[in-house]
Amino acid sequence: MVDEATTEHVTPEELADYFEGKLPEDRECMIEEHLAECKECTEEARGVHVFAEVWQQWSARAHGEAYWRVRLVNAIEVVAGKPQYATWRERLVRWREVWGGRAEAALRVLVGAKGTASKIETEGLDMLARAGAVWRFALVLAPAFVRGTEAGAMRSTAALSPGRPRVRVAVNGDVREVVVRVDGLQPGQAAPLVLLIPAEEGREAKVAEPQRQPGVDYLIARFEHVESGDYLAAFEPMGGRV
Amino acid sequence: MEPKVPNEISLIRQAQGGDREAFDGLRAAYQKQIYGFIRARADNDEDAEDIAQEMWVRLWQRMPTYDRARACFQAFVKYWAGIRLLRYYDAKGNRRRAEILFSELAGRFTELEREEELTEVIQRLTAQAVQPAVSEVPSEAYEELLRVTFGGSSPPHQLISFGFGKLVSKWGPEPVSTNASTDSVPERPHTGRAPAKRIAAELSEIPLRELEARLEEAYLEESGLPEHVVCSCSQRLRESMDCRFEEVVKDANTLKTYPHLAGRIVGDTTLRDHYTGAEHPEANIVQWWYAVQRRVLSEVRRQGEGPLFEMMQEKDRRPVARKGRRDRMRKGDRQDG
Repeated sequence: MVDEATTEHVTPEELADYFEGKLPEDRECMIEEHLAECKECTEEARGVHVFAEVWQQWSARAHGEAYWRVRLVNAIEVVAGKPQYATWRERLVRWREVWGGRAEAALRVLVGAKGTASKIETEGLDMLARAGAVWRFALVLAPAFVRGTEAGAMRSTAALSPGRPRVRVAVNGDVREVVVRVDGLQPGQAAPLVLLIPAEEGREAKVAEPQRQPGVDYLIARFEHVESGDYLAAFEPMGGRV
Repeated sequence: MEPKVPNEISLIRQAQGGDREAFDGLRAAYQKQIYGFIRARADNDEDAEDIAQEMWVRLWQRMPTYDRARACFQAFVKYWAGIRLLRYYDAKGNRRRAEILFSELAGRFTELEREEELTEVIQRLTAQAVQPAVSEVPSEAYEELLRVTFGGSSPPHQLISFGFGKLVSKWGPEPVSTNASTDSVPERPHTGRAPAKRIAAELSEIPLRELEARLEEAYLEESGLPEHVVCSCSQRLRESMDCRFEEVVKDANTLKTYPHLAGRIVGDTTLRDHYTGAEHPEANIVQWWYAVQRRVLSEVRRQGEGPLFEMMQEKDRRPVARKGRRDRMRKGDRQDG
């Protein structure tokens, strides 16, 4: 095709409408015939095509998903490089490489300052779940007592993912502690790593692996001295480990 | 859509019966338009020419499947052009281009998702375990959209109705039905009328100040984003609630449309105060959304930098001289190539 258009150029705004299918068919036809012979509008169209697509995908939910996936990937990278987490480096690297910004499950943990309420939010984070993940956290309505935690745990709030394994997350702002308890793991099955990522950028994420407790059949991961604030708790994809 | 050649039906019938000359007649009629369709979606002209050539070869093989009762011939050709585009970029391993194309074309042709020729392509596109973050819209692009949109020059009533209709799932577009017809008649994407009607029915009488607060809250809740990310982007809109309409709106045409609102505090007005058509306010709302999109696109291009602009200028494209383009948007007044 020779780039010698004789018809009117197309504005970027109309090109956006074109890619969104908002134009009448006869106008679409005119635009396509113009694009066949106009290099300049074609270059413009290729850029607008990308913009129109991003625009179409934009929603509060898509924004949140993109944001938290980046935060999760970045947090995994940072903790994987820390000497104190060297034991889990291989698993963390694999988590990032295989699953990127995906987790087995995720929830928001708001650690209140002393004397103020802490809470857990379970809604809207299924967007971070890996393909095939089955965990679904729900809030535990009654005050939750997590066996194995310190006194004061009765004042915590908690969320539960039923089934196998059964996972319970509790937060107690008074003692600045977030506790994860895992029941019902298959023999030989390792518990997932848990990442606690501060919503506030610049603060360090922490990672822990639930450990078997003496004389009982459940595992506990405990984050102590947690500063008050908003956190994302993300679980290592169970299908992502070898 | 009128046929491109007067004897199109006859040519189609003959081509379906194996008459190559008749097919060449159809090709001659549609070649230019279809090349433009492909060219706009390809990364470069070399690819576009290869894809177009292959598409016509395959279309000849597919002619017996064409059913005039289900779609016009032009849509049939575009459908197969779209498939060639998708297969081409899938074969090249250009997942990002394939995803963008698929998303756009699936809006035009609802049956594309069930197209046998694309089964493997779609499987690869939807596989999530491998390199999941490569082809997704980066978070900073969304943040830029949020900042440019709500910090830009669109009037508050347009921004608020846009925010509810586009960004918040409760009010936004209905999800695409999974029970869509298997008929291959290409469908036009929705026009946003349904969410606009809901907004007109339920939000028209509520002061903009309250709607703005609800919108911020809904965005925060649905996105799960930290407050500072959202609030810094919506600050300008929030602050405009306490200003007079004439202080906030700079566009002369908008001011001329609403002389009665000039001295009123924006946050005290309602969407109904801004409707120009009493019977079909949803038409106003849909137009406002388009206006917001057009302004954001213009602003992103004007800035000439940032994540969105960089996405629009993908690396494998030649840079385009944009200076003075607007001045040359006139018939015949151009210097191409």
